[in-house]
Amino acid sequence: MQEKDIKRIRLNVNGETHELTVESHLVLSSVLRNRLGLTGAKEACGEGACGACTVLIDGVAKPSCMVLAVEQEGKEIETIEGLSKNGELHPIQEAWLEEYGAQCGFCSPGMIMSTKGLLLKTPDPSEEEIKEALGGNICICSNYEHIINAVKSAARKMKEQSNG
Amino acid sequence: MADTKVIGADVRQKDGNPRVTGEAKYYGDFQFRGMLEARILRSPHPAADIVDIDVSAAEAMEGVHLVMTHENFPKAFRKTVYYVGDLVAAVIAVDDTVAEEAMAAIKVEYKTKPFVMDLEEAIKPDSPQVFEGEANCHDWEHHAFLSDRDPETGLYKTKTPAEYNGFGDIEKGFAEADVIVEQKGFRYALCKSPAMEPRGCTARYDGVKLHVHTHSQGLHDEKYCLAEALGIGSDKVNLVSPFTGSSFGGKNATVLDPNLPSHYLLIASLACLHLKRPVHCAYSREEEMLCGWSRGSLNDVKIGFKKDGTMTSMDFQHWQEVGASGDKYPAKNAMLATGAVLYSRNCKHLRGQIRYVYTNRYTAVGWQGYGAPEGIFPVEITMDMAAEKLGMDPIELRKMNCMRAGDIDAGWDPLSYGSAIISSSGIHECLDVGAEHLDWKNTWQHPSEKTGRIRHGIGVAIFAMGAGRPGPGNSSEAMVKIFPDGSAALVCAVADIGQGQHTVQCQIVAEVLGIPYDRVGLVCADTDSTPFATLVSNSCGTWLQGWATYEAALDAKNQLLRLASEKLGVAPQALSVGEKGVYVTAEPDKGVTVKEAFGPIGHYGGRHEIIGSYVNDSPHPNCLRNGNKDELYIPKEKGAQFISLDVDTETGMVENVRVTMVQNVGRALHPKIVEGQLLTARHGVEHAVLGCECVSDKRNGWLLVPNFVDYKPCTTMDCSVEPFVLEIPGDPTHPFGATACGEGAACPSLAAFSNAIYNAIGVRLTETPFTPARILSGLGKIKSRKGGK
Repeated sequence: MQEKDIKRIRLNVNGETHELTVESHLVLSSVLRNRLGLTGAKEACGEGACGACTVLIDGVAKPSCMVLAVEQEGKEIETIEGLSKNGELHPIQEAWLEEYGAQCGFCSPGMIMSTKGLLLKTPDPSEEEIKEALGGNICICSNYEHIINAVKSAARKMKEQSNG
Repeated sequence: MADTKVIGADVRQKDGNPRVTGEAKYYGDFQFRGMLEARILRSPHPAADIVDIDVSAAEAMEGVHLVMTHENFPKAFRKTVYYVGDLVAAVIAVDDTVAEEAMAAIKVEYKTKPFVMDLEEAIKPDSPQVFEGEANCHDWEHHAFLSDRDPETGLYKTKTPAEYNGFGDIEKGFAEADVIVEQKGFRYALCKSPAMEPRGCTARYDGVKLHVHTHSQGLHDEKYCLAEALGIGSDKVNLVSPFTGSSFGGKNATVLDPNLPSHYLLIASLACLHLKRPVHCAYSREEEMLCGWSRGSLNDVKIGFKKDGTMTSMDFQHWQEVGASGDKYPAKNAMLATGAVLYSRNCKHLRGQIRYVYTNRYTAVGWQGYGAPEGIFPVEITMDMAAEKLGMDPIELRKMNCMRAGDIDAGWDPLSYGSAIISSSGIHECLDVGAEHLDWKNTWQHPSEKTGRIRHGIGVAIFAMGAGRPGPGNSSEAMVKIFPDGSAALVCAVADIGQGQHTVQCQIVAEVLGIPYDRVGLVCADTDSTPFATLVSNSCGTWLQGWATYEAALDAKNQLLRLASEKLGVAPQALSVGEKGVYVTAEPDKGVTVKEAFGPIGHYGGRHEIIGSYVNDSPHPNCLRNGNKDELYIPKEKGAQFISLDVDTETGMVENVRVTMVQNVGRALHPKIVEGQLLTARHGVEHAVLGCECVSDKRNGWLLVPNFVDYKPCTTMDCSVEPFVLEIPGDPTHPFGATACGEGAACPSLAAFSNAIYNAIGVRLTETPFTPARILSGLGKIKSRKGGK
C-alpha cells in the first residue's frame, strides 16, 4: 500500500472554521460529506457533469467534486446547509417550495447553490441567463420549467428584501 | 366535480423543506460507526466462464475484512459472467481506497465465449447463445386468442392460449381494407433511465435484525425478495428508505433479476450478516451506467384501413431486447401500446406477436412506460404514414380510431386477468387542445411545400398505457391515526421517487378527515413501521395506494364520529369533522374537540389514538363494471404529444424543439405535481435528437457511454415543454376522479419527433436516435451506413 499524503488544513465553511487533517487527493465534496457531515452536496457523477454537489467558493458556484479540499484554504465556502438562518428559509428556498422546484430533491441543493451564485452576480437575470447558469445542473425529474420559475421568483424576493 | 378543500390545491410538498435545505437524508448520507465499504469487481468480458479466481493477495491486505466470490458466497456470485459489468467478486474493506487496491490484487482467469450484442444478430438461429442450450428469442408466455365477443358488453367470452395475442381474423381484416400501410424494421435504441442518485445501500445488523438503508420504489416487495434470497425470515429484515433520488422505474429492484434482489442489497446484506459490521455498497456513476438499460426493440407493423380512414386490422410484430436474463415485462407492455388498446375502437382484427430476446448486455429494467414507448413508436409512425396515403389530416385519422371510455382493452394479459375495460379516454380533447395551441390547421403543410435550408415541422402522436392492475397481486394498505389534539398521521409505505406521492396521499387524508393539510403527518420510513404498499410502478400509486389511504381515513373518521356521537347525543351521520373538532353539521356551533370526544386519557384510562385501516387486496368495488369481478376497469394514462422543431438540412441538426404535452388526468389532485409529471416529456428529446443511446463496442462488449459526459441528459438549454393538464371528469377508478399520470409523457415522444421531422424534410426516420447522420443520409447528402451513428 502506498504511503498516504496527509495535510493539515483550515476550511472556512458557512462562516465556521474547521481544522482538519485530510488526504491530499480528497475532493471537497468528500471532505464536506464524510468529515464535516454536510451531506447536502450530493455525489452523483464525480466528474463535474451534473452539478449535484455544487457549492459556492468565494461566491462562485462550483461542483465540489472537481476541486481538491487542500486547495480551499483561505476561501469562503458556502453549502446548502449555510443558506437558512435561525430556522428561516432563504428566499431561494422559499421560491423553490412555492414553484415546486424540488421533486425527488436530489439535485435541489446543487441547483439552489447555482442559483445563489447567479443572483449574487446578476440580481435580475434574463431567462437565457438563468438557463445558462443552471445548464450544468442536471435534473432527471425534468421540472426545469418549475426550476426556472423558482429562480425568477427568488430574484424578485431577494430584490424586495434588499429594498425593504 | 366534487367540492373539495385540499384536493385540487397546490399545497406545500409534504417533505419539501428538508429537500431544499439539504437536511433530507438519502441512503448515502447515513454513516454508521464501524461502517465498511464494499466494492464490486466486475467482468471485463461479455461472456466467459471463471476458470480460476485467486483472492489470497487481496485477503492478506491490511484493512480488508472479506472477499466474496462464487466460492464462498454462491448466493450472490456465479461462475459464469454474461455481460461486461457482471459480478465477479466483492471486497469489503475499511475504506474505498483499500477496497480498490485489494480489488486490483484479485487474479481471475477467464475462458471467454462467443457473445452477441445486437438484437437482430441475437434473433438469428446461428447466433451465439447467451444461455447455453437455450434459444435467445422467446415468445411472451401469456399470449392468448380472444373469441366469442358478446355484442352487448363487448367482452370476449373465450380465451385460448395461442402463439400470439389477438382476436378476429387477421386475413379477413386485411381483405376488408382499401388501403394497407406496412413498415418493417423500426428500431428503438437501447437507452438509459439515468437516475441522479446512483444505486446502493447500507446494511447494518443490530443483534436481532438486519436493517438495510436504500432507495426504493417498493420497500415491502424488496424486503420479501431480500429475505428470501438471504434465507431468513421476513421478520428479520427491515428496509429503510426515507428519500429516493429519482428512479423512473429503474430502481424497481425486485425485477433486476427474477431470482435475486438487487446486487448491492444482496452483497451488503450477506457481508453485514457475516461480519456483523455495517456495510456500505454504493455504485459509482460508471457502475450505475453499466446497469439498468431499457428500451431496445425491433418492430414490423401492418395496418389496414377503409377508404374513409376506419381501421380494419393490425399486425404487430415485436422483438424486445432484455439483456442477459432480466425483466421480460417491457415486452408485455409493448403489446399494451398497440392497436389492442390505443385503437381498440375500430380495430376488430388484431395479431400482436411479442417476443423477448436475450443479449450479452446488462439486464433490462423498467423505465417510464416500461415497454409502452416501444410499442407506440412504430404504431404512431405507421398511423402518420397512413394519414398521408389516405389523404387525411393525421389528427382526424387518430380521432376517428382512437379508444374511448368503455372500449375493451384487449392487450391486457388476457389469460391472467378478467376482461379489461377502458375507464376513461379524453384523447380527442387532448388532440384538440394541442392542435389549437399550435394552430395546426394553419401551420401544417405537406413537406413537399417546404424549401430553404432551415425547415420547420410539426408532428403528433397519441398514447395510452395501463396503470396498475386492479386485480389479484396488486394490493396496498394504509393506516390513518387520529390523535387527541386533532392532528392525524398517515402510516403507509408508498414511495416518493419525486412524483409527489407523499404529498398527494396526505392531501387525501386531510380531505377525508376535514382537517387542515398541515395537521397530517406522515410515517413512511421503513417496512417495520408501515403496512404493505404497492410498488410504485405502472403509475398506479395515486389510485391503488389512494384507495387504501382514502378508506383508512374514512375508517378513522367514522370511529371518531362514533365517539363524538356518544358525547353529543347526536347520530354519527349528522356530524362532521372540522378544524376545531367534531360538530353537528346542521348546527356548526354545537360540537366537541377531538380531545373531548376521546374522553379522559393518560392514567385515567380511555383512548390515546384512533387507528383506521384498510387492506386493498382485491379490486375496489369502484374498479368493477356492474359489480362484476370479470369486468375490470383499467385506469389509463392517455393523451397526446405535439413536437414543433426546425431541421437544418445542411448539418442534419434538429433545433428549436418545443414539446406540447396534453394529458387528461381526470382530476388533478395537486396541479403543480401533475404539471411536473407532464414536464418529463422532455426525456423524449434525449432519446430522439440528443443521441442518448447505449453504445457498446461490438468487438469486446464495453460500454462506450459510461458517464454523464458521453450520455448527456437534457439540460435547461436543450428544450422547452408546455404542459396542458386536462381535467375531464367521469373516471370511476379513483375516489376523487384522478387517473394515472406519470409515465405517459415519455410514450409518444419518439413517434411525434419522427413525424415532425418527416413533416419538416420529408424523410421518414424509423430508427432512433434521429442523429444528424441519419437525417443527412435520409436527405441523400451522405451515404447511409448501418446503425447511422
